[in-house]
Amino acid sequence: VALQVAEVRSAPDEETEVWFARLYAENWDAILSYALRRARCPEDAADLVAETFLVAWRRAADVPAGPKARAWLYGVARRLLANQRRGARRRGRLVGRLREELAAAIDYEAPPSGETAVMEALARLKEEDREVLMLAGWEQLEPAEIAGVLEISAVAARSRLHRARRRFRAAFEGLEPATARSKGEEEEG
Amino acid sequence: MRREEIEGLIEAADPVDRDAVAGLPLGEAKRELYEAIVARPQEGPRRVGAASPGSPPALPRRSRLPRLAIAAVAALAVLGAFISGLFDGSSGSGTALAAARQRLARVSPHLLLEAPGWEMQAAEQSGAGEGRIEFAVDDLEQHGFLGGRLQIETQSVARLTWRVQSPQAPRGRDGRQRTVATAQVPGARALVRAFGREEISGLPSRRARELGLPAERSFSAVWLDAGLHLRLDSTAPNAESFVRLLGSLRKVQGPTWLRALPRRMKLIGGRPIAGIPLAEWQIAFHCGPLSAALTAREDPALVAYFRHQCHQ
Repeated sequence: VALQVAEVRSAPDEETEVWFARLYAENWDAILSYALRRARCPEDAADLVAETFLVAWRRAADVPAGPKARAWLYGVARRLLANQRRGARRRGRLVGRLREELAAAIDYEAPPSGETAVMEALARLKEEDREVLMLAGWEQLEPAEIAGVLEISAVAARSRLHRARRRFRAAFEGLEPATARSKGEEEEG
Repeated sequence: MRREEIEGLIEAADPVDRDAVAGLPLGEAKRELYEAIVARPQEGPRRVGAASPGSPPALPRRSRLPRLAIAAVAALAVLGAFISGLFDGSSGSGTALAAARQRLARVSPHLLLEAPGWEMQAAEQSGAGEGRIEFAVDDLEQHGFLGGRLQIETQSVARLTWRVQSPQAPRGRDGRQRTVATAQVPGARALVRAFGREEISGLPSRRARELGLPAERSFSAVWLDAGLHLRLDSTAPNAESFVRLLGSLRKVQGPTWLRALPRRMKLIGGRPIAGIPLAEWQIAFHCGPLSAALTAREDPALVAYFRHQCHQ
């Protein structure tokens, strides 16, 4: 009897499914991009995307309306990513095909030297500073949206972004000059 | 460093191009995942009015200056664009072109010619671990009539070819070249070589003079830097001029190099060029009807080809 009650309670209504289909379609690229930027491999990115949307589906009642939905999804993805990094993740139960196809399509190579210094400076920051800079620069979020992701006030987000830029500047300018590259001359035709 | 510069640096270091992400061939996987998710139970029904289906999510506040790490898709996109003629110079903001630009920015040496007027005109990765960048300057305008019909108008062009340094011994030197100088380039000292005078503009020098073409020679510079074998080819009146050109070669940051890429890119190396599908220019290639002025602007190799074909 208990099982039947649970099934009745969890059966999605048509309106919810329509809402979720739209949420999924409109935020797929953004969440996939977020995952690809931060995950260690395409397989992890696939897991992160799947778990994020699964949480949205399961907790449909908690997802805010309209534009705030994307920030909410980023926030979920961010927490899931932290779980992934702690090793507490659920591997690939939903996403066998997505993992395979992402792994085939994505080439996780090191960035070219031009960006190495930027990435190195970012890596030197605390996770809190790095994330707020990436949300602004890569996810193109305004401070008010960043506040939604990090669950802090807009004023706090603006302040955190300001501090993070200052620290990035210090880290970037404090980097050693690029190591000398190999030099030489060659006879060839 | 100002706030805008910091934002620009971080934005340019974005490892993902959302346009390229949108082009990933994940349709089936995406649909399967959706179906797997909605088959799962929910914790509770969605509140009525909690979501407004008519409320679109926020859009990015500005367009991206991306760099991508999506090699396979980029390669497919470039191939698709090649086949469908997207590289006809009219689709500079297309996804395929954006992907190609990002791919190039990732693999190419970030070198620019900063002598006045010189601009990057084209760039390509011609194979695994090799490619080229073409620079041009509108410093040379020659009007002549080949066979009484063909007008020539051209630019000076410098072509930088690069390839990952091979562990194998370098090939023998081209017997038509001789080393005439050395010159400082970013990261190394280059050997400067000159071709014989008969190589002027791909024409016999006598014929070149008859046409009023400047008495230029072909030069090349070769050097190694950061595991790459680099070579710059151009023409110049003399070795000193070519060395001066080499001196304007600068290594720049990735975002700067990316910004220098032309908004419109053409494919070089005997493949279709801007606005002229291959079949069309082949058919049109009869000195008379062809608009050589247009063609000469596109590819110096074609100019030389035309001159040969029309005057031999």
